[in-house]
Amino acid sequence: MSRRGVVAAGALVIAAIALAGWWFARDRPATGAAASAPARDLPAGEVSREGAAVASTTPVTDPDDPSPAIDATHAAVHAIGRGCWAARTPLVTAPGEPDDTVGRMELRLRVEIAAGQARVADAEVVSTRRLTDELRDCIVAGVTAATWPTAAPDQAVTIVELFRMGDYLGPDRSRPPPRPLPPAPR
Amino acid sequence: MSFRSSILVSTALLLPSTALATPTINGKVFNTEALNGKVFNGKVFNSQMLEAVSTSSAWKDGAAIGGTAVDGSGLAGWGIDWSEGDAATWEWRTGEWYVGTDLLGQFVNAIDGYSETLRLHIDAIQAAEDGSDTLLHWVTVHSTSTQQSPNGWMPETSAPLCTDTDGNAVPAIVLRGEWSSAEGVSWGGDQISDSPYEITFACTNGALGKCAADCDDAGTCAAFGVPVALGYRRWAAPTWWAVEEDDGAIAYHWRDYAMEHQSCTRMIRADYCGNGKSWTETGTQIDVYDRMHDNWWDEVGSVPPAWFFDATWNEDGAVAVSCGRVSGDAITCEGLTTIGGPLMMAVSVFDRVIPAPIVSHPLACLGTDGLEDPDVRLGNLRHALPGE
Repeated sequence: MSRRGVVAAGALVIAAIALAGWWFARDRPATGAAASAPARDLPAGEVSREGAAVASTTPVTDPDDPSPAIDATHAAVHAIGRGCWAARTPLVTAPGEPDDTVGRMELRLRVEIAAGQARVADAEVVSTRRLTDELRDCIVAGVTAATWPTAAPDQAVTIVELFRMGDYLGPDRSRPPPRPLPPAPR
Repeated sequence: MSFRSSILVSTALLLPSTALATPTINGKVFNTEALNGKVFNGKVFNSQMLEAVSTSSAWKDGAAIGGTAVDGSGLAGWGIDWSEGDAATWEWRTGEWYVGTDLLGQFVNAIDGYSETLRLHIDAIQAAEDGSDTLLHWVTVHSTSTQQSPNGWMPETSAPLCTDTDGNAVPAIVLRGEWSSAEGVSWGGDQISDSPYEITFACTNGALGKCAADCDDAGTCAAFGVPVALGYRRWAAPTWWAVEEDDGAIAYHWRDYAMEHQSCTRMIRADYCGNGKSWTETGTQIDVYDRMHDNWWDEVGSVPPAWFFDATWNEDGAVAVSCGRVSGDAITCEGLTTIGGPLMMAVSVFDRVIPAPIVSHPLACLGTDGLEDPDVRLGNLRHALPGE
């Protein structure tokens, strides 16, 4: 391993420890009065505006920790990407030529979060590779127009998302196919 | 934005395990003797190229298979193991469960264009080393006497899908999608499908496999038929990277290794023009470095001087090449129809290289690694040739 590799590995260890700490701490209830408040289930990502009485039911987040904002944005924009893929006009290509599954795009997003709602204040296409104009435009327009709920505190965060069209294919892991008959005994 | 000033912060940032295999042996092959890990170069099926394998063709004796797709460096999907009797039911299967699976592959004879469908059988699957997500697949190709060629009925035969120069079986890594074996077109040597329902068996002695394999223990991996592992695990799910930008702010990048892997295949094959044509001489030693610091150069200036900066690369081919590059062939990208891809430059220093039509970044003349250019993903050093 090179010297820089050692440095990188060290950084990884530190990052992993910090990540683990954040992971185990993120769902802990708040202490004090808030923790004694009656439990109340909120839909995922929804933030109550009733004050501290229900604060314990929302994830405890460090105002400087961008993870909740990033996670919510990531889920929201890829739902848009998946929808654009499903609604696209399939690209007709000759055998041996690239199809539309190889399309990819990096999209820089300036995300603003206020009062539990996130929106894209600015979107810039950083790069595309073999992505159809239709898919690019659909994703950019969809992301720019959307808002989504988040448990993250008010903040602004810059994200460079990667959209890979091949990710929007694949078997449904949530539902097995119909059970076939077992093979006849020999 | 400056990637060179990138920093890691304590969010969900992950680096792949540090790859080894530098310096490595540059091979002219993309994946075995011709393009794309799809060359079937056994004695019986010589000249036959594997064009495509669809997961929809998969079956496995004693099991039911449904919804099979490429996942990671192997297969995954729903499967029933009938040996479990009344308890047999659909379960999500992965990795080694697919030992014994058969698939149908479309082979094309490179000489006469004759096409036929042959059976691929996965004989064994094993991780490259303990804890590795690099799954090695040993695959055999079977023909049957029912297949007919223009020259008559073919005898029933079998041979390994991937072999070394001595004909010994070597493993393959399953990659999602398909690569083009064409030359002289903008997609030559590039991925032409990223569908999880299309399989590329990337032989570990070809460019696709060498660039994708990841390994910490060189001895173990070499024993399993993985002589080179550059660690660009294109199957790895993207991860978040925190990047300090020029204004000091942090931006969070969702990044994968697909483009590093593609860049690596350009480099391994010396596909300067990014059109699928290889310019390398097999056996040239190279030392690989990259922007993400999985690999780093440390050989320049060794005594006696033996290593030189050779070229920098991205997914579209070379970004720049050494001004002192020695070559017996003219490198020209004429006729290339690029999609925004960079063309390379070469400046004659020893009157042994051909001045290139387009001059872009004369970085190598300065003796730098070239990573200051944001278009560059990785670069390589080259060992001096005899008498150089």
